[in-house]
Amino acid sequence: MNEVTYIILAVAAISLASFLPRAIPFLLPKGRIKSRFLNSFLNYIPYSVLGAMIFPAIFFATSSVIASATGAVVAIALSLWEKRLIIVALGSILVTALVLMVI
Amino acid sequence: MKKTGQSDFSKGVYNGLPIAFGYIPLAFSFGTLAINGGYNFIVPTVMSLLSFTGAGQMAGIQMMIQAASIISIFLVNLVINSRYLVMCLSMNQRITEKMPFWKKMFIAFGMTDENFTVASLYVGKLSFSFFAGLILTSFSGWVLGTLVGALVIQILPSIVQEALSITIYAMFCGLLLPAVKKSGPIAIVTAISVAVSCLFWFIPVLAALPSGINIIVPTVLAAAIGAWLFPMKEQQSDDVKGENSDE
Repeated sequence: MNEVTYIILAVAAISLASFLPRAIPFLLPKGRIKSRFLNSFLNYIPYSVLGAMIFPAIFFATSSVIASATGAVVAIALSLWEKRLIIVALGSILVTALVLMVI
Repeated sequence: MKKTGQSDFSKGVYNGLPIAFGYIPLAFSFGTLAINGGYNFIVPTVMSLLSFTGAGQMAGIQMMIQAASIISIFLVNLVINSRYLVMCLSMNQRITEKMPFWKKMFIAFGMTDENFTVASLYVGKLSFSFFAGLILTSFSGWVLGTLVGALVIQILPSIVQEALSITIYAMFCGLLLPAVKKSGPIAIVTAISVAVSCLFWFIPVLAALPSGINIIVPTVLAAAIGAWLFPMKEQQSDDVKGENSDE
């Protein structure tokens, strides 16, 4: 597979996989999902996928584990403090950049 | 009739503006990530036009940089975006206006975490005009943020470029941790997921598996254990959803 074909297929795959889960529910007749297990499973998915995506990858986000870990601590603290997403992101970027500069 | 439609549209735009501004840094870092990975600015911009999903696009471009297989890119995105199933099921119940197929599909395309949250909490009538204003506004922030991020990266100092790679994880923390703080079961599900994810990162045999499995296995395992140990009560599902909202 050449580079351009790969990019087109990958972009199409990402687009399809982001549209299908959003489109299918709108095609269903209205009514609740009956299975309690399935409901609970679907409800926990966002949290478990976020957990798996953040850790431990956040510690290796930059070339310096120390800088990434400091940025991670700031992000975690601001999140637990329930600051707005934009504040969490900017605070973490700022501290990570400062540590990268000092190291 | 026409007049009410227009004012619903402007209410949608008004509600969409803060979301659009919130998207800019995330879209910006998505654009820079793609450029750092060796792509030109067209690739991330087209992706943002076709997908409108932050976490999925981030994971997608990262896997493309690592030359992961198309099928694993597709599956990881399905898993990451599975949360939209629940949101859209709930939104489908809330929309009372009769609308043609293409209008429903337009709303489906624009149903991000933030648009869902704002629409769910909106007290007025959820008309198509409202959704059109909301979605077109936030989508503009997303696409323009990507384009500008991709074009501007070369003139940014390298330390800033590198520090931007923490953005997505910081945003993920902002979405996840408030919910973890409030709910014991969510905290336990997250802890299981993180523990399994660490196994897949640090154990060489597991780390060598195709990219994406390290996300899918912990996600499905932890959510299944959670559903088995702490099944939710009937009404609870919607309440829990509302907790990790930004706006």
